[in-house]
Amino acid sequence: MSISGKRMAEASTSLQPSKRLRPDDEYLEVGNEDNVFPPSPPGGDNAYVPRGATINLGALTRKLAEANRHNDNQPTTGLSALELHRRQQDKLVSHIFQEHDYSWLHLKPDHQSRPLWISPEDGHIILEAFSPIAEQAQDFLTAISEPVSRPSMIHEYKLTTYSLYAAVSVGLQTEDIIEVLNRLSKARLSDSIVTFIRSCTLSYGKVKLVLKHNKYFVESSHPETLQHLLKDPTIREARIISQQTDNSIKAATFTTSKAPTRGDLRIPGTKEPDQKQDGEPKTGTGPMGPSDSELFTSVVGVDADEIDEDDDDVHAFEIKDEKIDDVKKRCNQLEYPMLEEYDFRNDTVNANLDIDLKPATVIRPYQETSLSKMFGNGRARSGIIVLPCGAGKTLVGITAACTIKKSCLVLCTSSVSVMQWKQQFMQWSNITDRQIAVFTADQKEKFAGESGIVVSTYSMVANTHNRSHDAKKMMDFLTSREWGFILLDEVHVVPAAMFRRVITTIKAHSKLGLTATLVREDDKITDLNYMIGPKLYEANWMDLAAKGHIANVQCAEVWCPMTPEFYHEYLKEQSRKRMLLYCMNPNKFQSCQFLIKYHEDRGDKIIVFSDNVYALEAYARRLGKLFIHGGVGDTSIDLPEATCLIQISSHFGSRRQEAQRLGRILRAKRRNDEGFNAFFYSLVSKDTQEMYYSTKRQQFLIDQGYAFKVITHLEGLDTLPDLVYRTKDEQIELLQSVLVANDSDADLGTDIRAVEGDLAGTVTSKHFGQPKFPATSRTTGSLAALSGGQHMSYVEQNKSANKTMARGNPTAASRHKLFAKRDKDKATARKEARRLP
Amino acid sequence: MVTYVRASPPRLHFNLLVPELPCGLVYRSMKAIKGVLLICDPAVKQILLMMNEKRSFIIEDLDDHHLVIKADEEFTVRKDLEAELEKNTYSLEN
Repeated sequence: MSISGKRMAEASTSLQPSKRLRPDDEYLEVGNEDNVFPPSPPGGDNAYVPRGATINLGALTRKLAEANRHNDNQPTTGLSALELHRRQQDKLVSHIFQEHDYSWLHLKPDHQSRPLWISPEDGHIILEAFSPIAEQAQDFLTAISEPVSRPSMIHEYKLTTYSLYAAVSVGLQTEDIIEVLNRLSKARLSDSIVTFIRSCTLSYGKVKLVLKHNKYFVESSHPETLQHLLKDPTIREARIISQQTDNSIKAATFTTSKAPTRGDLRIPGTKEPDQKQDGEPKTGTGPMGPSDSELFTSVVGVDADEIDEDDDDVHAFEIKDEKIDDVKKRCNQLEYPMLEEYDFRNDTVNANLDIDLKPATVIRPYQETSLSKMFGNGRARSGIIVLPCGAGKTLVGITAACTIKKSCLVLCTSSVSVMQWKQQFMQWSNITDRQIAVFTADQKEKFAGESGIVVSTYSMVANTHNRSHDAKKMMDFLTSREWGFILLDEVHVVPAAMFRRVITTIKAHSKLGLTATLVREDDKITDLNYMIGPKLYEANWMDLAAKGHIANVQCAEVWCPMTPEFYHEYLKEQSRKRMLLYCMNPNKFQSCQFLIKYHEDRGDKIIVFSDNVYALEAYARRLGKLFIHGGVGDTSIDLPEATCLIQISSHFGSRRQEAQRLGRILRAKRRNDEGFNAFFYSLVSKDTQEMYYSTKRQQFLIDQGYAFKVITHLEGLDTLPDLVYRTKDEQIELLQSVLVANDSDADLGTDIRAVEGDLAGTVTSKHFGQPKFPATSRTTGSLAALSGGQHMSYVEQNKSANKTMARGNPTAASRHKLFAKRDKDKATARKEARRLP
Repeated sequence: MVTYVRASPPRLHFNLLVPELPCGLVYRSMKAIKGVLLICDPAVKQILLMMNEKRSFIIEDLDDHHLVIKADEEFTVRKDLEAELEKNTYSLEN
């Protein structure tokens, strides 16, 4: 609670700094408070507690004591001791929470059975996740708001403009959102929130851009909106006026047709009865009676999107293809952002692709829910689906492709994932080898026939220069045709500029972005919202873990004290080498050895992660383990067997990287033993920068509900036989080898050499066929370093002596007197010898 | 964050820090320095040693866990140390 409290404080001050309560407001609140807790005596004991700047416990107790004394003087007739106590406590509470004291909100009489608290100021929603109707409330909240933090008991969500856009885009209506929120809330929904919801949902999604028979239509179920848009010169100019035969006023203006229904569209891999079950709430479990449950079905359930079709008619006007961009931009400016949908069943121009899931393939309930958000009204909406790693993002993408059944372009981050996608397509669907093609630096294939699937990387498609002839021909092939569907894998890592290039060069009817972590350190989320579409679905990690879809992970942070010698050097060092020092801390080595031993004995498969190749290599060699390197594991490679992950260095505070790494072990299959089935260790050197980075990195996972256990001492570490670096001498030797290491060794992943077509930070199969000891390794360094000159075993003692040596012939002056005469004799002897012949 | 430093409850007053005198000289006035014994972990001791290089306050380095420092420097040392350790702590505010 304290965390969320803090956050709320942060958010409210940043969002609405001007909305500080005025003193007269506060008096009003106090009055209200009394209404809530009757009976209250008349009299002036309601003295308003001044709000101090800091919370000082000593001051609070003093104040409480003061209030006690004060109250003793009051007529206490009719008030029990308990009531008196209550009132004092209330006052204390309002003092502690200051601006965030919402005790003046009127609770509904049956508030206990309603699970939501909604902050009237900043749109934060607190959900009691233990409430019997929490599950339904959660479905609703994920549809309309952004999850902020979802630990086991109390969840926090936030209403944002984009989350409300997303809600509208999946077919929810303004009044329904307000109605359901009001029903779930413990207090009446405040006017500010209602206004906020209205303003965000009013215009969004009212206008759609639809590609029908390969013509672009601006479509809306509100003719007045279209009229409004047509008043704009840019849009009017872009319009194509078709011949009308009907004379009625309405028809003269727009073409009118029946709104699409989901009808018989079935997402492959789902079964009809299953779908019914999902949509139906458990009647009787909710305390609000059947009428509320019905409301839920209509708003929350899988079939919810049919609400859209209350309006039977939709109106549309056609616009010119080449004006699409202008119109889109103009609509955004007019605050009618256009929703893009693809009516793929009525697309007769683009050839169908004969693709279906194999009969044995069954998709999981949450995958189905996510897809139903996409295909809710029988058309394909563009947007982003967020699922944790290992939860089957690939299958969601494949199922979407099987639903649309048109030509499909899949873009991923590296050529490793290209091959993985192809393999997955072959595994889950009935697509033949001829219909699926690969476009990478090595392979440039085209599919046979009218339609098919192409798998490629972002950079291959976005690259604008230095194309080979083959690649150019392939690109012409990609840009010359219309794609029914474009699948964008790992959307969170793609640079925005690259994205824009992809989206503008490839003509696709619908776009689906997939990711595990929609956090970007650079806050580029808004770009994604604009370029792909709203977030359609985000899974709850804890929920999936509880249901066994992803592994149940125990996270731990192991604190390794720095040895005094290492810490001394750490404090002296200011450069990047600091990092090397805390990675190579002997205590960390020992902890790592211990954990590897412990989990090997348990039968776990272990991966050790390091950002730093030097450290990784040192660990692997010293502990006698295999290693691969090259920024491998973060996103691209699947190591499905692993059940235990140890990270020895976690440089930078990237929340996303932490989550991606955790994703490596989420695939761990459920074993029969109780409790956790996967382990995530972060080894951290105490009292170093690493502590800071480590905590920062964990924030994303903490918000997903993971709890990090701090281990300060590993039981049995000292008694481990053949423990490495046990003696001080060994530790100092290690320290020296770290100190003489090149500065460049402290760099991150120095050996990453990406092939053409890979995004930075991802690596292709070329460089790690299988885990191996490298036969040779390439390093850069001075000649002295290569010959061992920088090693401690070679020390130059008297450098000036060397300089004098280099000067060549020693002058007589530097010679001792004793030799001077001898030199002179020698010289004369030589002279004479020359004169003789 | 744990504070690593704590002064031992009965503060030790050292008044026996007399430099070794060469034989045959008579030391006229005894110089006494009031000291505080610090018990800390090895890492914190290293930080204190670094701080000592800038501004001398350590009277005697006893072992990995014990230091004697000047008593009148105690407050500033504590404050600086706290600031140093706080650098490695992440909080939601920053």
